[in-house]
Amino acid sequence: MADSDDDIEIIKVDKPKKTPMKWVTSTFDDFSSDFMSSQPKSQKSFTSSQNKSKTQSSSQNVSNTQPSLSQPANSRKRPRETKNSLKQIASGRQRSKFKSTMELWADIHQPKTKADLAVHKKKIEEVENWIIQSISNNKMGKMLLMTGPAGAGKTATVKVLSEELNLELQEWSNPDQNSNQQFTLSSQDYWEQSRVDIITSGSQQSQFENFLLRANKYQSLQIEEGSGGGKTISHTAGKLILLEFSVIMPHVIPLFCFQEFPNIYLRDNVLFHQLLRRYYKVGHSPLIFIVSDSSRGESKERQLFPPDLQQELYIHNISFNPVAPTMMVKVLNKIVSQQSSQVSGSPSLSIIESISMSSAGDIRSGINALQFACRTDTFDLNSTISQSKPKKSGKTSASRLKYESSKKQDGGKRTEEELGGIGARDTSCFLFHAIGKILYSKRDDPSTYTELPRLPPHLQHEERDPLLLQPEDVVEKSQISGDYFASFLHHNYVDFYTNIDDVVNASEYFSLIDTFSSQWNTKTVLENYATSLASRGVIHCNTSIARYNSPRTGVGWKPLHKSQWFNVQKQSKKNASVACSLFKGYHWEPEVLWTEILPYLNRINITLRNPAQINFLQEMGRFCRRETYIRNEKLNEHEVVDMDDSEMTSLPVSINTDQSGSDMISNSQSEVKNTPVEDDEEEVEIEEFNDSD
Amino acid sequence: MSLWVDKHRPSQLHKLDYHKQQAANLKKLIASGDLPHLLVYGPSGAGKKTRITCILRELYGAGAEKLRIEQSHFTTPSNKKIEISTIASNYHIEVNPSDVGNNDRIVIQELIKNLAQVNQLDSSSQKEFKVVVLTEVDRLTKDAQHGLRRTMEKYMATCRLILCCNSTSKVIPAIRSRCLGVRVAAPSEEEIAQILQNVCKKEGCTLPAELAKRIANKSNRNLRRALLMCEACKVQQYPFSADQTISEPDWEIYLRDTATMIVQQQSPKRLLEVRARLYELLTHCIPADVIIKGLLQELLANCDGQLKTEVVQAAAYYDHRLQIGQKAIYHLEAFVAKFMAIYKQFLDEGMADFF
Repeated sequence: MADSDDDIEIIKVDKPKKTPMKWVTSTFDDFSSDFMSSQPKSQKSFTSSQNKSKTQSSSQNVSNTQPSLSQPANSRKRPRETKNSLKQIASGRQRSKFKSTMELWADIHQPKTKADLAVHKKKIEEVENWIIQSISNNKMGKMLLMTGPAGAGKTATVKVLSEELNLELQEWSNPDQNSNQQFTLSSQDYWEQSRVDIITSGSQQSQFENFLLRANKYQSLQIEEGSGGGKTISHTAGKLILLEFSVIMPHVIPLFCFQEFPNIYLRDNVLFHQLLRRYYKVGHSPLIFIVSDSSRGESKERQLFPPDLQQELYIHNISFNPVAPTMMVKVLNKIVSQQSSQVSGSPSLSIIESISMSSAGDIRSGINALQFACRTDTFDLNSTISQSKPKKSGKTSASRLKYESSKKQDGGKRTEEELGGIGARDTSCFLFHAIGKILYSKRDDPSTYTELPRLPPHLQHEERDPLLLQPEDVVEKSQISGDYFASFLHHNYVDFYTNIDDVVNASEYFSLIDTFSSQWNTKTVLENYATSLASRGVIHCNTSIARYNSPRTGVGWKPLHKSQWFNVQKQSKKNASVACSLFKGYHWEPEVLWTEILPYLNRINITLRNPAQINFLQEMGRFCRRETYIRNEKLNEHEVVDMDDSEMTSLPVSINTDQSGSDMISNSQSEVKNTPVEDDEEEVEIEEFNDSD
Repeated sequence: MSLWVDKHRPSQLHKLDYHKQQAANLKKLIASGDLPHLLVYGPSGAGKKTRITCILRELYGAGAEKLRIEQSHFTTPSNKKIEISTIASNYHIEVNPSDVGNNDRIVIQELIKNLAQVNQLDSSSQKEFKVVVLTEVDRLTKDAQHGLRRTMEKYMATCRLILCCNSTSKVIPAIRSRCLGVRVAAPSEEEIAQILQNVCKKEGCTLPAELAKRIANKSNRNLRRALLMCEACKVQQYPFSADQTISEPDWEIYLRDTATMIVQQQSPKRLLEVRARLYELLTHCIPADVIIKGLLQELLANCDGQLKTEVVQAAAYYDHRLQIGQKAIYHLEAFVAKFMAIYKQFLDEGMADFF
């Protein structure tokens, strides 16, 4: 709903009438007249966009308090909704009523204060410190890269902080490929800000460049005026946001179809890097990039911000963790209490908990699921959920929450099943974590289980305590093929074993799975069994972790590595074909050529006419003699997550501990403690206002 | 610039140095005018290819020695283009179908069909058939082998097959029964030493009998290897001395070091080091079955009698797995781990007895 409003709303000068009409009907019933009347006031009345009106209001009314007053109600997570939020800024004063059924709760209940944020305090502090520092000291790095999974509260954090620090946010998002109107709007916005008339026909790229470099140029002017321009160009894949002191944040949301990346910089990151360098030289204002990562997003982020560039431009990196379940429950409960007047029946605690569990740390999807669960027409779904609850409810009590999340496979699976209808988020985990989960697999105290089958005496040594995870689920969530997974597992498992006899058993499992998963005609069917067998085999055979309370002495943190097999195979194939083509004249059988002819050719100084042959022979004659052969690249886990996560088996757990513990922030960048400028009273006021709604 | 192995390869049946009786039989067979399909098998370096070229020469005369390398192109039913290089004369074509992996059936069938559809131009003065030489038949897929057996019968009128492989155990019985088996046993060490002497004489250098014997011994009754070793020795040091070192391929030395590492220590950590070395070997195109064989040989040297059976059994087990599976490293590593466990247990028992 809101999205479609946005689209329509962004309209050229020629049809100004249409815009207000449209969204008036949806959200701002009683605001339309005011808004319309405000238009003529504006000097630059060639556009009717709310963005503009917002800019005007901020620039002309010169009210610094206004943004902090109104924006909290509107600060958004979704980039595209920002415009919408801007409308609300204007409308906020009119005290227009939300139509709760029309509006997403995720939008209504935007966090307004730092206390509202479902982000760990230290993270917020870290970001805040950076902003303050970078503003006060221009010599410092001017760019901040924020990463984290979608819905972790990155954008919300920046928005809230910008409010509290009395900065204004400027954001850029690319024009829609297929929407010329939007395109125009963005450039209009830009003109507005820079007060330079530019012909609209510039490419997206040049627009962006202009925006970045020129907005910066004219920034001082605006500061004198005590205001900053807000400007929004939205494109499907990314956006930038400028804070008032011109903090810019491009928000790159990895989408699943790649043709949806219209931004030239995603294709040509060299251009992007050049631009960043230029900005680094001329820019004054801090620049914040927000990159949501998905399981595939990493490469994008790496391309856009390679480590060397980060170093060169002093780009600071802050990574966000998924929202912790406890936080999520808190937020959801609050929303429910606020919304209780409108919903037909408030969901039970257990439903909220299961929602928070299934949303896997994505607070936006959690809120959406909650709203969906509370709708009148879908409310009957809850009954089915609550029916299935009892068997689990004992475990799900708040005190068991942490335990529950560590048993994600157990609890998470069930909730997923239950909440299938309420839009549970598709949980996935990175390969690094998946492998970690298998290798560090945790077991449960058998005494908590009443009916555990016992093994007969002669099999006592095979007995293991029950697992806390289902290996199959882990593999499934890792989103790679079982074959690949098994290979990675194979590459890493030996490190976790202390006894050679255990290794024999485990390696036997690997050998076995290869025999039955390599047949091409049965591979698709058997692959799942093979991976299951491999992961379970690895877990089972490691006798040092057979019991839930095993000392686990040898199982400290160990780096994981990428599987070498595929490289080896590739290299060997390449060498083989090169050998065959270079020494075709000898027409030996390949095996004879590799094992006998080539090694001796190296020793018999026969006149080889072909330099390629000579090079190849030298290369093949070289063997790696190092005793400690450096294994292949380390398996890079995702940046977001601290290294200990894999050790702690489950993602939510580590976040949970982060809540209370201090081990979360790996690289706290600044010691400067800063008391944020906040207008608590005002914020509270608004909150109340929302409550009353 | 050719190697001694190529240069001094006998090209006629009566010039062969050993298995003279067999050569005579082959000669008689060819003289009879017709030739059955042949399946030539025997260990590596025994002289299979030499005998095949001799047979061709006997069949077609010197014309069979004018070889050219050609690239043949085939298209699979799924429209995949495959390319394979063949060595051909006017009378025969030699191909190694295992080069193309899983598509070998198409290659075999198409190739034979193409060749067999064209009759010899002048069949009065020549044989009525052409010959297709298939090497490494034991590496053919089952699919290809079954395809082959139909093709063999269908084009019997215009085409004969000479199959060449190391072991018939991987050739399906249907093919074995369609061919006349010719076993080429490895030459004895004396024969190898004699051949080395002859070759050196032709090259104009003198080889001490002692060194010839040592080379023959070291070559593991592989004549090709013996000749290569001899030539390498000559490059290394000439005139020869009886006790000069005989160079071995790098990978064998590397493999031996690896085996030593395994024997020295049995721990998961060592297993990782061994794995790295196995990867290194695989990268250098050393086939996995050669690796496991070499390892076994080296490891057995460190084993006691009753241990040997156990180790050999493990090796056989994982060698079999190697044949069925695809990821060689899984099986190689499993074998190494198994050996480590067996050996460790043996050592521990030995220690217990000692005290």
